[in-house]
Amino acid sequence: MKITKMLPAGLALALALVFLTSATPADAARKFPWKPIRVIVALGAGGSHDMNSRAVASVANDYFGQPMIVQLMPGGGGKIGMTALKRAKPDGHTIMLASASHLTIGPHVRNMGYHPLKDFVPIFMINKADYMMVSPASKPWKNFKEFEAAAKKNPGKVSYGSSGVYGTGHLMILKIMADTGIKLNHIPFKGGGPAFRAMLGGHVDSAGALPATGGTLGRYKRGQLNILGVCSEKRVPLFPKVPTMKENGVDFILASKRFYIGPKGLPQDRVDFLVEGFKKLLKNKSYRRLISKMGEVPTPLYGEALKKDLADEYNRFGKIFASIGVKKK
Amino acid sequence: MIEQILEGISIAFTFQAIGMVAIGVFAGITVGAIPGLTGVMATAILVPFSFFMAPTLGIPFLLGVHKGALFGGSIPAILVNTPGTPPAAATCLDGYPLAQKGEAKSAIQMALYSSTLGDTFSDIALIVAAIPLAAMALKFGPADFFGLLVMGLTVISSVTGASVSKGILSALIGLMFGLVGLDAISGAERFTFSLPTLEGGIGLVPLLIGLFAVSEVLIQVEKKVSQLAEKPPTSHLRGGRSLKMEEFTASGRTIFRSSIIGTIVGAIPGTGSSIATFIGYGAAKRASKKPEEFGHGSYEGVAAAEAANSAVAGADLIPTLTLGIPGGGTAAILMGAFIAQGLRPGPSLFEENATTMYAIFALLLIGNPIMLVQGWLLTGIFAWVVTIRQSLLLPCIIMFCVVGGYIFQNNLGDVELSLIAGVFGYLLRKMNYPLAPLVIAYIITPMAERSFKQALLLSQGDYSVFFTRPISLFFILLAALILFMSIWKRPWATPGGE
Repeated sequence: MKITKMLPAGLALALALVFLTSATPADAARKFPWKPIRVIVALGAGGSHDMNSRAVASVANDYFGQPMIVQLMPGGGGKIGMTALKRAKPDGHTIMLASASHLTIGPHVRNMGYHPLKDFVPIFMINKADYMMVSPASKPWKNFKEFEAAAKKNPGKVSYGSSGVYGTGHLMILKIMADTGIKLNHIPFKGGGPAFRAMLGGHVDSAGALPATGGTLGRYKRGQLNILGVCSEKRVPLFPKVPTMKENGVDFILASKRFYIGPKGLPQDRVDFLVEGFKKLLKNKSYRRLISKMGEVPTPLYGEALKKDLADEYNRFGKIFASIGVKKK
Repeated sequence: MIEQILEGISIAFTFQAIGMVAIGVFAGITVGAIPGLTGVMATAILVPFSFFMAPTLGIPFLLGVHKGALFGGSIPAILVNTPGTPPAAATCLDGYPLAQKGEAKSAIQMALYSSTLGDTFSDIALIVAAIPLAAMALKFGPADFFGLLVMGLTVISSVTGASVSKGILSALIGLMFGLVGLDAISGAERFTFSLPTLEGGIGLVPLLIGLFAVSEVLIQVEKKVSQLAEKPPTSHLRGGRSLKMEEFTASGRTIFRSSIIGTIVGAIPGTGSSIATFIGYGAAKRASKKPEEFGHGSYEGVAAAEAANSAVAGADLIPTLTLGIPGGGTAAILMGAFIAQGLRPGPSLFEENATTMYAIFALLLIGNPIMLVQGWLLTGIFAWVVTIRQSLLLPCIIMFCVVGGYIFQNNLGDVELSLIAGVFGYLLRKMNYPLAPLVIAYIITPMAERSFKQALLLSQGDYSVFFTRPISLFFILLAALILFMSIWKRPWATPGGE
């Protein structure tokens, strides 16, 4: 029965350790970063953001002198994670791999309790994956023109499975309908994975996809699905035959961008330190191998250019919502 | 092909590889045994470590964690009536009464054997039938999912306990809880009271922690202080007897049935081990020769729940590996680990990485005897938890409840939620309302609602879609049959009524 007697002693020791480690000398005297960098991801486990953040974290120690610890904080449509970042000490030890749906899309339609541009400091965009529109091979259309014709013939009957209400897929549907005049049947799912699955099974007629979703590239090559369009400026080297959505008559640029942000008040020298680290990290071979397998394209962007990119994107989505007539609740 | 299989097996039978599985299983059981720490969390925390290992070491390590956690969850379920992981909720129903009778050791052994057998069955199913089964799961449209979930709801009828009306009321409360959050189709907020914590719905983990663990502490606290400070009678717990062979063989059919149920449910994406457990438990109760023992300490009940939830482990990977669509939460994280190792899930996975995949499969199977051995040894270690004075144990459980509620999403709101759910669960239990129907209805409702609405959107509002699709029709007819059977059987099963 010694164990039960040792329990209180053990607990006391553990508590003492907790207090000891939380006492730190003056921040200014120490070289940043002096403890692991916490990376918040406001999305669930196994998603593309989770995977990206972990790919970076797997090599981070060599470039920042401290490990990166990914902390998933899903829920509340991003509110929980974003609020945690907003309240975090702006010392560079807490940053976030942010998501467009929480930063540039969500705030237009929901009250998130933060300002996406004013409450946060952009640090570094590391890579992106272009959004694509896909259809199962079993459907009669092979390209967007035929898809459009089928939808014109049966207004409101051709379906599109999205990752959820007012997510990127929903925005895509609204934009397609606004630009082409067709009427689609919007079927929201919980996440892009289930929507993609329903598309593969032929239960919905079309869906959105990233190169990493459910092995899009392999399925395309084997002829299981057709890619109707890519939401990029130019055609993508991985799929040279696939037209852009712009060529299809839908003026919509959309990519899943992976960028790091920090809380407001983050000192410039620490932002610079992180930017330099990310720049070098992008050249790491094992990291490049990881992300190319996920179908991600490295897109280093930082400083004013990143700030402008985010502001532009925020305003662009705002305009799209306004033009479609979607108002904030 | 034979060559690749042999090469894979030779990679698997190395000291390092088997050692990694053993470490994974150990970590999994430990984490699973701590209420609030789930297998999903454990794998999420451990995935980055696997990045630094070879695929044939890192992946089996994570699979070991997944396996271990599913069994580990049963230990606190039996010992302190607190499911260590959500799928172990059904294990409480019979495991805890057994522990109260002094049969904790044999109950844990029953859980261990049925877990291991269920897992092994499921792993074999994964290896043999991965590709054809996945093709079937892809045929499930929203209407078919709805049919399946309706069938799941009928299980409530078999776990209502003594009073049918209280069971139904409890299920309705669960259904109401399931409605909280963002509407799946319109995105409107429902019953959130503008609280960010409730926007994503009531969290499953905090709810379960509250209903099962916090309420238990509250019930114990009613006792006199002197009683709590007393050392519980340890004789029957310490030297508890081992499971008898005939007790085990009597549950053989149940384990087999639950293994099949768990495997099928696991192979369907979006349904988790929690559902499999309750379906397996309900089916066992209906088929049992002694249904009246269920809920009062039936070995069959423990076997039914544990075999079903562990049988999800392997089958979960069927859609994950063959379609690249995760079968559940843990599978989603495992998929991330596969991709990070350059093993892209999909039908081509087996063509391109045959040797690696066979090595992983071999280690998946080896993990089962490892779990059996570790579980056997750990039974003794974990049994002392119950022998601790309650005045020491209860504060620790509350601490784990708070910590577990917090680390679920790092949200203090979830801690509050679990404490409120605890008081609520306490009141329900004091009034003899069964908790199981509440939990089942709560888990199934949001999924069923989404599938129902999606099916109707696709059919342009035509309700006949649920009866014209063969898969959906099959499940709805099965549900009707189950309902009919449970109504028809009741007067005979419980003479004189209850």
